[in-house]
Amino acid sequence: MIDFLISFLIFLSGLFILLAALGLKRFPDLYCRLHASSMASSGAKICSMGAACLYFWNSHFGVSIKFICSLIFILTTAPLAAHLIARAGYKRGIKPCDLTAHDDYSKVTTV
Amino acid sequence: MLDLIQGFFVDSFFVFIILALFLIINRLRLGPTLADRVVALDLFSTLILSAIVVASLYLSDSLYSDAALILGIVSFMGTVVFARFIEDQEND
Repeated sequence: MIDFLISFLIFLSGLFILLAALGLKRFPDLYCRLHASSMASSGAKICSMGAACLYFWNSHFGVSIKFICSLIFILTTAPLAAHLIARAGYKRGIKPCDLTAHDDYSKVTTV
Repeated sequence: MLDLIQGFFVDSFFVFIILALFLIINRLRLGPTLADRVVALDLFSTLILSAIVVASLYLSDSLYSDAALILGIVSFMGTVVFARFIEDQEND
């Protein structure tokens, strides 16, 4: 049973990565691509590291704890990196696509 | 080592990441701006990280957890440095 759960988490991780890559390929805009890539890659990291944590829980408990700690670190830094890229791209002057409804950041006077 | 019945899931994981690799390399090749390429590199490092973790399960070797942690740290540092670089480029 636990083997099936681990394998299904691995499968789900691969599916998340494929969906992120598909969004990266198909979306029209930097910000849409960033949204797809960042969110689905967080899901992939949760699934693969959760599978590793479950797999090593009985045999190597310390390795399991290490996977949990690195998962916490990675989940903290992934949205931060996405926010940095989006802000840098906006300040660089990359325009959103025409379908964008609201652009609140243009009202903020910066730089 | 996982069973042979569950081997279907692990094999489909490898098929998925190979398909995703082609899509990411395509975006890396023809991304209009530098920021698109940085996003593609970020997703690429996520792909490598998941592949390392799954290889750690596949070989039943716990040594690869260090490699996953270090790769996460290095990819975050690289993204931060690229964001600074994009921000400091002059507008044209």
